[in-house]
Amino acid sequence: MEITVDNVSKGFSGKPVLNGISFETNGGSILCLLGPSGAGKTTLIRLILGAIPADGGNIEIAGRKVPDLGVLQDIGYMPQNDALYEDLSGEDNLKFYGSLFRMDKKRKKERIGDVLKLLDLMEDRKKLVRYYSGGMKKRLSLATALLNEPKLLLLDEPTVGIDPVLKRTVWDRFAAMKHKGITLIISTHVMDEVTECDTAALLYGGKLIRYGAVKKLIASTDTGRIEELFFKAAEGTVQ
Amino acid sequence: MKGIAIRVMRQMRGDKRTLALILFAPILLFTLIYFLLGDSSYVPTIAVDERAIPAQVISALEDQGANVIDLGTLTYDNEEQLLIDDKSIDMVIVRSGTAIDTYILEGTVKSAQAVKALQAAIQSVSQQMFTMESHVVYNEGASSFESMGFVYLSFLTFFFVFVISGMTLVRERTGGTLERLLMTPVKRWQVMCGYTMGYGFFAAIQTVLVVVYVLYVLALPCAGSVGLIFLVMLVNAMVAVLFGAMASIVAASEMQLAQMIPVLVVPQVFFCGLIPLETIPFGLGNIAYITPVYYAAEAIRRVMVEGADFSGVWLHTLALAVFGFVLLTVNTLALKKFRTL
Repeated sequence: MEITVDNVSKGFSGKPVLNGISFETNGGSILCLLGPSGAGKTTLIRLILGAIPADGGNIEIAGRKVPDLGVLQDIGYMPQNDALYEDLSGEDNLKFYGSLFRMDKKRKKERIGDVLKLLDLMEDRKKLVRYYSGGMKKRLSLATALLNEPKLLLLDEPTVGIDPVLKRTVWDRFAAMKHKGITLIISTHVMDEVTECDTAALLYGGKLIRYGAVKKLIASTDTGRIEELFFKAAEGTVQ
Repeated sequence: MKGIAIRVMRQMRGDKRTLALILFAPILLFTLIYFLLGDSSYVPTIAVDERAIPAQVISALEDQGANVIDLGTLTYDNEEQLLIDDKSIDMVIVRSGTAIDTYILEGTVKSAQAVKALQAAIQSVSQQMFTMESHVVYNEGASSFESMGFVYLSFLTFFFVFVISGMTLVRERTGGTLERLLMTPVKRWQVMCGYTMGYGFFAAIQTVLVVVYVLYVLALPCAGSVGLIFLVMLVNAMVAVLFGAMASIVAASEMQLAQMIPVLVVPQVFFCGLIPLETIPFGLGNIAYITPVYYAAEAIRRVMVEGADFSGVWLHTLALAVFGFVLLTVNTLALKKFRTL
């Protein structure tokens, strides 16, 4: 799924949060929205989803201008917090989200089985979510985002608060999804995670300071570390 | 829409405390109100100066069930001090020239029992000169619980449904699940209707439980059709769900919603029949017409007290339904706060 973000700006209560953001990404790739806390990553994801209107500029997903309810049928979204119903079982959470995507009974059952297997939650599917561990909740949240077989996955800080082993597993899953042709947009503030992605949009203070292939961005630094680009942005020396 | 309603029901099934609150808390309150406002068996104690008060009055007081004691047997400085020192005495009656002076400690319900006994005694004495009989058109001889039953039926059920729906929806917001579900192709009106159906299901069970309990266990008299009471209460409960949803959209946290209760919900109790609207000064009684509970209470009053049929309450029920429709529209628009489309 192609996504075009064209000169998008957004502010809250007169305070600019994003300023003139533009980039394009193609299907079957992982785009990393990288930046420190408060850089505007979550706001950009919410703009792409159409949850909030942009003050200026346009966003298009597969040629359709956002916001568009129809587009949401092909999008999987995993918010920063797990956003699950703790007093429902894992399976009931999935059943509920399945109903929102207007899946028929047979397809819903198949998809729920698929995502539970994929994220290793089959055994615990009947357990109430309030008894899940942090890692299990994260996996269930990802399972929920994958339920509708999305062509575009928007994941807001998906690896926050999970152990290194699970983090590795999650990134491997993302890579597998990419190879299936799914476009992934993943926000993170962990600089090292950029190497898991194909392209990166570096956000700092509401501005897109760099955008491009991750390898090229790293090659453009003196130290081989992506942090350098943020330090330069902070000093106002980035080109 | 159906998916949301089913999810709300499943969630509620897993939340036993909330379920108990919506289904059984009103019953507990009704039982308390029944005992607090029902007929009191309290026997007031009245100290009388038996040398100065006519024997007919004393005998009439005793006939009214009052415990009469002779003031002459007590040691005291003055009547007021006696009431302060001996809390078991509710009233003192003395003679002052041609007048009879009565003293009570303060205008409490306890003292009111003594006043009531004295009034009845004087009336029974005066009947020797002429006869007086009072006639009440509706609810003759009803206790406070029986006369005000319609107020509690409409207000308490509204209150509990409001609290449950408002709190649960605020939790949905703060937990991020509302935003997440709005990032699916579901339409905003479907979200609101789904919630109303889900919580409305439990509100309907609450209605049935409360009405059956109040009418058949506590024996609150109902002159009209019980089916009409169900209908009005059900529409009232749906409006309460939507009212709670509206408050939850405005509130940023559970604490903020709790702060709204004294402003949005509690004042409605004063405008639903507890105080006659005509007696409220400065035209403030007109506030009733913008509060949904007024319409529910008035419709229930007409059915229970006056025995009105559908033609007597359809306008009030329609007004409630209009409230519901307006709230549904407002809430659907307000959800734009979380998703533009």
